[in-house]
Amino acid sequence: MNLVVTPDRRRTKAEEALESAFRRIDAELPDLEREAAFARFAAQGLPHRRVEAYHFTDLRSMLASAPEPVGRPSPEAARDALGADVFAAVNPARAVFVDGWFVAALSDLTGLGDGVSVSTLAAALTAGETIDGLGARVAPGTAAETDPLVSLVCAFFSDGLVVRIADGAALARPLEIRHVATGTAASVFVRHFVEVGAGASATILESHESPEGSVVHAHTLVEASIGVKAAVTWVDRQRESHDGARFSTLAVAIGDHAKLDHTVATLGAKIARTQIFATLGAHADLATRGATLAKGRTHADATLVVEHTGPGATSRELYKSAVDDEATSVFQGRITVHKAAQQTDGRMGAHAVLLSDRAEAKAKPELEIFADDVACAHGATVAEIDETLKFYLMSRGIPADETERLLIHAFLGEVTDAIGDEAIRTAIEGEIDGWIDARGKTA
Amino acid sequence: MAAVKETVDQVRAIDVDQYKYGFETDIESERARKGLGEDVVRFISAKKNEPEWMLEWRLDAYQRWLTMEEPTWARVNYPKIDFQDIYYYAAPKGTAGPKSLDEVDPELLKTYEKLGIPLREQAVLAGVEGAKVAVDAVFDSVSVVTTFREELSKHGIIFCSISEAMREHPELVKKYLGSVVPVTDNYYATLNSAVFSDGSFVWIPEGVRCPMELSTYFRINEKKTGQFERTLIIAEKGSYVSYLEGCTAPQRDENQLHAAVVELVAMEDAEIKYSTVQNWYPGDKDGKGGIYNFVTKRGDCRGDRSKISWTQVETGSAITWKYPSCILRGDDTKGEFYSIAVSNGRQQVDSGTKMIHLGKRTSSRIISKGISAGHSQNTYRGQVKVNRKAEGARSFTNCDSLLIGHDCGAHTVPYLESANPRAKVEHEATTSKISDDQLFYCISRGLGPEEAVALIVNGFVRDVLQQLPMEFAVEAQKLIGVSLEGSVG
Repeated sequence: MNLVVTPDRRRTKAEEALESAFRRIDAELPDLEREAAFARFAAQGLPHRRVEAYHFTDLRSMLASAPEPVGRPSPEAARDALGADVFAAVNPARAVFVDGWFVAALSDLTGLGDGVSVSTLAAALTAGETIDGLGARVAPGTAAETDPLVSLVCAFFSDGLVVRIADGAALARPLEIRHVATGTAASVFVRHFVEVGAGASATILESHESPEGSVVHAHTLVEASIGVKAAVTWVDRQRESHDGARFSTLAVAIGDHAKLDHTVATLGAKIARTQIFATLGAHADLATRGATLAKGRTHADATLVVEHTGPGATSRELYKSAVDDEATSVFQGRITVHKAAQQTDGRMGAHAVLLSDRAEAKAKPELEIFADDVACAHGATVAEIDETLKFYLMSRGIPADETERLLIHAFLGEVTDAIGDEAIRTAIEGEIDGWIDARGKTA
Repeated sequence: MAAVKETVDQVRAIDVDQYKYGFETDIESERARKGLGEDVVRFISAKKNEPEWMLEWRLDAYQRWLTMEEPTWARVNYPKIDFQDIYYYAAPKGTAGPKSLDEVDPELLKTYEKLGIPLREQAVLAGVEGAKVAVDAVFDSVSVVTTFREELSKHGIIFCSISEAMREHPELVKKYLGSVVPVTDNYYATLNSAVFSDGSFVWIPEGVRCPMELSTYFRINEKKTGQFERTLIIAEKGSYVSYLEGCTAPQRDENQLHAAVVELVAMEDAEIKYSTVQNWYPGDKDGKGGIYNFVTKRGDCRGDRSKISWTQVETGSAITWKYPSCILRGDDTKGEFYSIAVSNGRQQVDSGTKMIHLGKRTSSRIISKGISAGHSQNTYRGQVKVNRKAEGARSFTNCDSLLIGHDCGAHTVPYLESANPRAKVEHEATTSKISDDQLFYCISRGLGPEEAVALIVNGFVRDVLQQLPMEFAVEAQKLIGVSLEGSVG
């Protein structure tokens, strides 16, 4: 083991747990990179507030421990783990992962259309493919490559999905990658690869959940590449246990003239961090929107790193959070415009509404610009629900609590309204409204 | 319009990377040994005839500094500073406490004449009848002269060098020094606490509105010296003061260090307006030489309804690392930050502000305009933090960046933290280049490309220039024109 451990620092319990877990994992999947990835993680340890990218999300002090990864669940346990089917009306194809393990019996990968191949990462690697050969990779030298959460997934992953859509092909129906948990306390690591060929199109849904009360630390890493002129719609919903943690990373390279429309809804987890690392080619188009709903004593972080590398690309980021009880929401967004990326049009908005006296919101919208012919802007606000709007509605006879519900719904509506597919939009809106309705009902 | 014309003329009159204040004055000086050690701290303290408590304060700071690490989070790159290759004290000989200007070395007076600083009290700025500016001039490590003292003392105002204040008003210095910027605040502030040699001290008594602008002019003249000045301004209940600060240095190939600390204290209903025109030598066009400007400036709105306003025009220095901040401690206090940061050549600027809202109904306003040209990097870094108890706090930030040329960078890094739902925090930022439409419009009306740029830039920074006292606004406008010289084409 060529682990690098900084001698001048005592490791935290969580770091020790991760290290001993790593020494013990009996990975089914061959991969020589695991050692290197863990060494990368061990060298820096869990990130803390003096690491700029984790300034507001100090994992070293927040993560008291890290549960052990667990083995494959029994077929019965796997079946019982499936909860309500949020995307039922969408009728998507499905790949189901329980505690990080692919369960074929629960999955339905039929009717995906010509030119589409889906297999598990385990199958791909056993068939002799290599991680490097899988195409879509976290670009070396980028912020994603050195990210400690990314390193952890690379070191520990149990399985994942490999999705390939050939040039010009279209995914015939949406594909849902669904992650559920049996409720056993566990650290779960899943790594997916998605490659969308030139001119291809696809709708991909990601869903993450764990039973309320369970302590699951769910880590996912998606490495995606979107080919020239391809168009992808991506919707991610996360509803983890309020005692668990969710760490997800999407590293995506968007090719020239390609388009990605991305929405993420975060409704659970005690500690949530959603990271997006996007690289845009010439005339690429990225829209990413997020709705974060945080309650109890939770912490939800949305971090974006958007790199414009080619000219003429457009990016639109809109992240909104409703923060209740003693929760904290964090938004960190960075648009970097490289020297070659002239005529970049970038716009980022981050807005938080504080619903209780002890709620907190932190935002750091960054612009980093090296090209002169650009139009970039960002805006950020933090406040409570506008009293004048409340007054307006109440003066028309709407009760106070209904007024708040309406206004929170409207506030987050800007995020969900942009989802083109009605069935998907309705599903996400339903989740959000459920959260709003439950406000105040549970302590 | 007239001012814009002036800017344009100024731009025309000066060649590319000609730093107007780059001359060096040949004055005999007395220096401490090179490098830093306890003996140097003792030497400086002894030179200043300081009381024992002050020496202890310095030694304590020095010991703490030894245990600290240089901060690296700012977006600036520079070779490691050799802190043993710097003279920490340099004083023009024979200027230990001049009784009047006649005792001051005529070379020194000439220097200030060249700089356009009126040290003679009868000198009134041209064109502005009746305007008076009291000046404290700091040359290398010591304050050489403070003007208009008698008139100020009639109002009970104390305006003198800080070494003098230590001797004559030790109770005030003891009470406030380090109360806003603690000794261990940051690496450079701690270094400053150990070795600061001089600076200005201002105390405005209760209810007094300072009848004239107070001003300090800093000049680094000696080779291989660092300038570590310390400014302390206290505005008692209901008082008002406007303070200006200007800086220049000779043109040299080596980098020189400037690590100052400025502390402002505003009591109930008091107002302090602090304006800076920073024009240290920025280095030549290839990035050789120039001043490292690592400054800690902070104001404490200690009393209710007090107000502190920072205005800065940053055109000089090879590297700027500076965040004038306000701690809005009292209820209903106000903090303002208006900034123009112009970078050209190989300059690197990482500057912004911090507004810490602690009191109820506190408000802050941040307007920052960054202009980058040449190969420079210009970063705005600002923090707005609303404490849980800051009911009804308001904060508004607007930072705009303008890029001129293909090789520069403009960056915006705001940190917003709110822990009170009744607080409203807003931030907006834009980055763009001068639009072709605007340029075309100006050029079609007969302006040359550089004139057109100067005109548009002056429009871009207008919001901030308006906040400067008039005499400074004119100077600032000229400076901006000069700094951008050579950036078009």
